[in-house]
Amino acid sequence: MLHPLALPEIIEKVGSFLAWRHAPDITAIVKPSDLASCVRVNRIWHQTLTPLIWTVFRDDVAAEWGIPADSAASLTKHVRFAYLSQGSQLIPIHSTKLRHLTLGHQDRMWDALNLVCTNKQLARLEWLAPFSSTHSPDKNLVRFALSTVTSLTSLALDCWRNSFLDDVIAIAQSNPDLQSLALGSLINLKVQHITNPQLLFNLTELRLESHWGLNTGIEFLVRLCPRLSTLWFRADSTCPYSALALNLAECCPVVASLKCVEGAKDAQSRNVMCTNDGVMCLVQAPHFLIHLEIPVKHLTYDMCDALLDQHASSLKSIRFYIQSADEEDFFCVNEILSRCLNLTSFALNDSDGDDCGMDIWKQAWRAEDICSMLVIPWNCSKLKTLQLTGASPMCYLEDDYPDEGYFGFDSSDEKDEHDASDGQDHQGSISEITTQDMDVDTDSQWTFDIVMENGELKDDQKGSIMSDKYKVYDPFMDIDPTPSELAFDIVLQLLETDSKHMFLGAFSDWLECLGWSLQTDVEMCELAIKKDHKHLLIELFECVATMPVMDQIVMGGVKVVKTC
Amino acid sequence: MPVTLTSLDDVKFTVDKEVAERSILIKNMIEDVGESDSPIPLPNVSSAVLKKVIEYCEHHRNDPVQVQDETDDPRKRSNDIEEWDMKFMTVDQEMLFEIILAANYLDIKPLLDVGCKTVANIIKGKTPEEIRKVFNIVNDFTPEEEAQIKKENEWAEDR
Repeated sequence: MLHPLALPEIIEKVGSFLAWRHAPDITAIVKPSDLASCVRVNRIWHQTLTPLIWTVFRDDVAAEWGIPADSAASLTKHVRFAYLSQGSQLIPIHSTKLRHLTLGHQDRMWDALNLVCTNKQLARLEWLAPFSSTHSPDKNLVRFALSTVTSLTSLALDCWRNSFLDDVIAIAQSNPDLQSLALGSLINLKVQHITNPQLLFNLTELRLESHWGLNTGIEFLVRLCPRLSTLWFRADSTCPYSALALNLAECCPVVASLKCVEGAKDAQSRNVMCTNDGVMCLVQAPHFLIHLEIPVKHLTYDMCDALLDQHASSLKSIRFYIQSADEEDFFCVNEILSRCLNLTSFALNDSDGDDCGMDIWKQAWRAEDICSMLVIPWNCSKLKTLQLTGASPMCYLEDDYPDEGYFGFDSSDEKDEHDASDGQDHQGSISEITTQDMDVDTDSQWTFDIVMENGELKDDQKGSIMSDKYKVYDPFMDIDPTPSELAFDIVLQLLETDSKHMFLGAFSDWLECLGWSLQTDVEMCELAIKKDHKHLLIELFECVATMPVMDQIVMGGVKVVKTC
Repeated sequence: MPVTLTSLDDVKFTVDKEVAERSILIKNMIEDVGESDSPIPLPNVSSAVLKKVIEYCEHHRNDPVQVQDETDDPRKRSNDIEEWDMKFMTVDQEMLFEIILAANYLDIKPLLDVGCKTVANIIKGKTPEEIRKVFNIVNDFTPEEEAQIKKENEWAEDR
């Protein structure tokens, strides 16, 4: 039998499964140790697999790993994906078959020029800082280098100064397959009157990160992209929203995604935030909006109406970065969740940065405000993920909290949970209790009469998920409750007793019955649920339980994921 | 419509056309020949291996057909093996190699990928000598060559 591991195509395929650490994006890091063993097996393995070790080259990693320059010099011809970010002269790259090139340091300008000119088949180029003030080569050299590449599908230029918009357009036009163009940190880009410019027919993604005020007229680029589907833009107060919206409406009939280039942290700054009028102007430009991601100070009814009147049926993902949130914001969220039937992802991120940081001291949203998003029934049955990062339901156990003991009594009583007299003392039904301070839906399918007797759980009511620490018994129930119904009863009871020790555990058990798992950044034994968030969580998850495809909910410090 | 496949040892297997066409080779042969009852000969595949290949194709009959993209970024390949595939590939080394060769010959990319991932998982963490021993590969380097290659790649060890 022919040995498959003597065939180069098989050896290469096996090697490719050894080469890469699984990475979520294009910047995969080679995992060379297994390949280093393989290239020493025999000659055909060495010949076939050596290129794989060198396919991706990152000079920061090379510096860290101490790759010797002399042995690498002849091997860099195999590099196909190069990321050069270090200033000092490191291993020179001799490849002429690069596919992706990222040039991130101004001190490597001559390497950059050389590599761009000798790799005409480049598909992706990111060139940062070619025109820095202290190391600027002749701009004509840069333009010449860029004119030699004609196969780009993705181009990102950063830190260009004192250039012309038609230079950028000329570069884009000389690469007819260009699909993605990103312009970052340009300064003083001059827009001359451009007559009959050639359209960029294949450009579907345009990213405008530059300061609008320093590059007046840059929004004209939008008019050249008739097939633009995604616009990333710098969402600050200087953005020419009206002009941008007009260009989109007149020239980009298929634009479906509007996204800001900034993340949550940037949204803290007042200058990096869409104005209300700007949002209303922009969202009315596309014919059908599918993805929206913008920073705003607040959600307002006007903004919401402008968005939903036109795009409620098409929207699939929405992410708002907001500075603060009150009741109106959450009524708007409710409106969105009830009108956007095709929504699959919704995120309301506070501008404090981390999506899931366990920062219980930050200014969190008020639970009573968040409840406003539950007033109208949700109709977004396709919703998969929900993020409310400013909602922070957890607190540490040592927070100021009355010490209630085991079942809501003072711990100094030291009642034995198996003591019959305790069972009698707890006797009562939820329906009697709920009329007082609780705001629980007594028409909910989850509401039952709970009577405790002798602290013993009847055998036929024990579910497989019942924790021994919960003793609940109802001899008067004429239907068999499911384990999730029993678990929910315990949650309600502990809500009533305002127990800090037991509620989180009971809530977690109930979620498990619904097929969800509660995950926190801190050990659960150190945590409790804040008093004012208990009702919110119950009502939120009663609602979520009806969502057929929901599989993740993220709040501040906590994530709930579907397990089954 | 059923298709009959004939193995190296003249054993006939009748399978649905949809299952058979998981093999691009067979798919092209059917397209070239047109509708016909004639068995399709597969002289490079024994009956034992063909039986396994058919089992795989039956299980994956509804999977979307993978299109080989020339610009396919190899770094985007997933190294995961599904549970069923993992059990399917729990075979002796001889059968593993025969499945790989058959998948390569029949041009069934997903099966070839699974076979190669299985081999990759065997290789992980092994020294060159251990790899040679497991797969019965002869070392054809001279001592000087071996020393040179070891020196060239010393930086990559334990990375």
